[in-house]
Amino acid sequence: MDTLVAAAIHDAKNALSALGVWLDEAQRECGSENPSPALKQAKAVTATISGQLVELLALYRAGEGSLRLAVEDHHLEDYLTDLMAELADTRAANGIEGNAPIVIDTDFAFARGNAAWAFDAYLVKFVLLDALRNALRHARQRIHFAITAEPGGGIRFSITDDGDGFPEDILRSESSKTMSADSSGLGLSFARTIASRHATPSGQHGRLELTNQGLGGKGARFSLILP
Amino acid sequence: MLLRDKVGLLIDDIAAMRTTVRIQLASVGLEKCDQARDIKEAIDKLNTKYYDLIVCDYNLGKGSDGQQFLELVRRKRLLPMTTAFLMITGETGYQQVSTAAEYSPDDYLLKPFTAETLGTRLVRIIEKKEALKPVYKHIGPKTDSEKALAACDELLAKKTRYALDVMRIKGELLLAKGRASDALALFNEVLQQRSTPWAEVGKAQALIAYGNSDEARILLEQTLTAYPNYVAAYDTLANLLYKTDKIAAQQVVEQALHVAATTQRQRDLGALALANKDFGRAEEAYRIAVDRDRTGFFKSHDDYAALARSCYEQEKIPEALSAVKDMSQHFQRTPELAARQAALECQVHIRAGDERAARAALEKAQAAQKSSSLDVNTQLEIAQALFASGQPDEAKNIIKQVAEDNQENDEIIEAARTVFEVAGLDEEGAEFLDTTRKNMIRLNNDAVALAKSGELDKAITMLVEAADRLPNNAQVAINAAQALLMRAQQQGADLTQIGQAHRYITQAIRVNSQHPKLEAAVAFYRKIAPPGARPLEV
Repeated sequence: MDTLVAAAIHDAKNALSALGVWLDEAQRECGSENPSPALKQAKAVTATISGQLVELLALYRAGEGSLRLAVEDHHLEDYLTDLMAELADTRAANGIEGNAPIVIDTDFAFARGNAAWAFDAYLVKFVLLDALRNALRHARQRIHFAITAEPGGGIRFSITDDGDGFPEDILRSESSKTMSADSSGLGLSFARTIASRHATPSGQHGRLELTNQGLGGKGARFSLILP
Repeated sequence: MLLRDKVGLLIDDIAAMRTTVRIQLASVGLEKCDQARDIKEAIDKLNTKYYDLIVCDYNLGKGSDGQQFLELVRRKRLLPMTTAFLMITGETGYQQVSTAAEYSPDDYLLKPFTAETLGTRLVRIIEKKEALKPVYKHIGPKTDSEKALAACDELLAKKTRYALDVMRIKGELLLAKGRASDALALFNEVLQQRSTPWAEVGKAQALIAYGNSDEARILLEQTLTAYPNYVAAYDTLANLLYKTDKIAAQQVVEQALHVAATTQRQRDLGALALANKDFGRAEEAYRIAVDRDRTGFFKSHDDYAALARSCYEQEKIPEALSAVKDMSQHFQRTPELAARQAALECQVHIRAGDERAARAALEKAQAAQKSSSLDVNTQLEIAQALFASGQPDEAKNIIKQVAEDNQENDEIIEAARTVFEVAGLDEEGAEFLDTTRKNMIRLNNDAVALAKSGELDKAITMLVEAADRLPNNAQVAINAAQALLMRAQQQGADLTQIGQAHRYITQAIRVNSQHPKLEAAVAFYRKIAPPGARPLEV
């Protein structure tokens, strides 16, 4: 059973989703031919907070010892298609990129050749969307998003950008320092937890890998390796 | 649009949710969609109509959930494998309760979702159902595992994108057929590429079938460490431990309850706690089961009986009596219910030292047993009351009849064994049931020997007598039919004899349509039966 804190986080998330419905309703009252930028921004903020609450809840449960991943087979190609569609929605709503849209090129050849992998699709989706949004904030022009086989077993999702790379303290530290200027470090902490909680019966674990060997030799490269 | 010509069924207990999802479904093209608000309504619908897809909320209220529904309709063979099943879950209720592929939804969808997402997911699972149709049509209502296996191999040779789904089904078919080494090889092949929960559990099941319990136990424990949400692993481990270490089995079910506290799992825990004489815990578990299922589809006399026993074993006499009395409120008044209540009351009164009340209750139960045909659990309850009342011979008479009649039903034999155990007669019970089993084997063997030595008439007399006395013993019925058909083959087919053979084969089909000896008997019948004889419906 969930504790009070978990239940409260969950209530907050439900309230946010109600707020989202009201914002849609407000837009309808304004008339759909007349989209309000402020309402659009407000809607994007509810989506951001909702995602943060999901991460907060997972971290809270991890601390309580009650976080259990729901690992099942997923068709990688379908999964990535859904992920990119969801990313496109938030890009449209968020306006993080300003006037010159950043190009994301993808390498999903491995997904097409290898039908399925077992992982927690829901939680991993938040890790990857976070990392992609973060890359969108820091990239200059390009992001490379790939899925590849990991030598010795496992798969690697890697997100590489052509920005200035991670700050030194993030690369050095194992702790959850800030992932970007406007975030609390929740995202990275969450990503590390979700990565390491992925495990196999033979004892292999998932992990994160952060380097500054991105595009142009200095951009950030975020990798999520799942066993 | 793929959904345009499909027929759907939407199941949710909350009217507002049904309306919302109904609108979403219509907006992605699924116009033809019926609705049901609970399991009963859904079953009524399934009985009258074929559906291409089912969208079902996990939480159905009244102590029941979508997984229970899925398992029930698959077991009752009301839902063909060709029908797509999408389970909608809330975020905190997001639990993998999947067991075998047959009992797994085709996909889960987390609330809240957009119409577009709902549409995409439905189209995907319908495409998969379509691709796997050659396999699915041989699983479920008309299981033909040989044909299903052949279809699996054909699909695998074509290298579809659903190869893994096919492998999973094939593994389960191999396990069900007892082909342990083939199954093991298949799961190992999958695991060589990567680990995945279903293949780990499948491998453990193959190891168990091999008799390699120790290795299976280690593998299952490791699987649970890696995949603590995978309920099928708990169930497999608990079943494995049940035979050797019931205390450990109870601990595993306790763990599983933390992951998915379903009513059925409360029952499993209660049964183990009773076996371990952990009566307090058993009372707790059965009380939850009884409370949750008060109006539910799965409520059963057995829960109340177990609750009453958990109470009186702790000397909680008033609680035990009120559990028995409660049954009158929650069930239809039938002779079966009255007999069950009387047999339970007898046991409680004996505990309380009230011999007169106990005797009165027992007489009532016995009278019901003489005047109507009672289900197995009620008969065993009366046997329990007879043991408690110091009438072991009468008790054994009932158990003998039940055991002979249900010789091939492990669950019932186990229940009979438990009656002896509760009466404190563990060893005697094991011996008694073993003798019963041997007697039944001897009856069949003797009859076969008689038939072979030319004394077919004697064999038929023996088998027909037994088949009429034991209407639930498929083996005996099949042998009786075989002997009758042999005589017809030798002496010419007369319609009375063929009609008799028809009746026994039908009797066997009713008991167990998957009986391994059935196929040969059916083929023999079709060969011998003259034109004009009743055809067999299998």
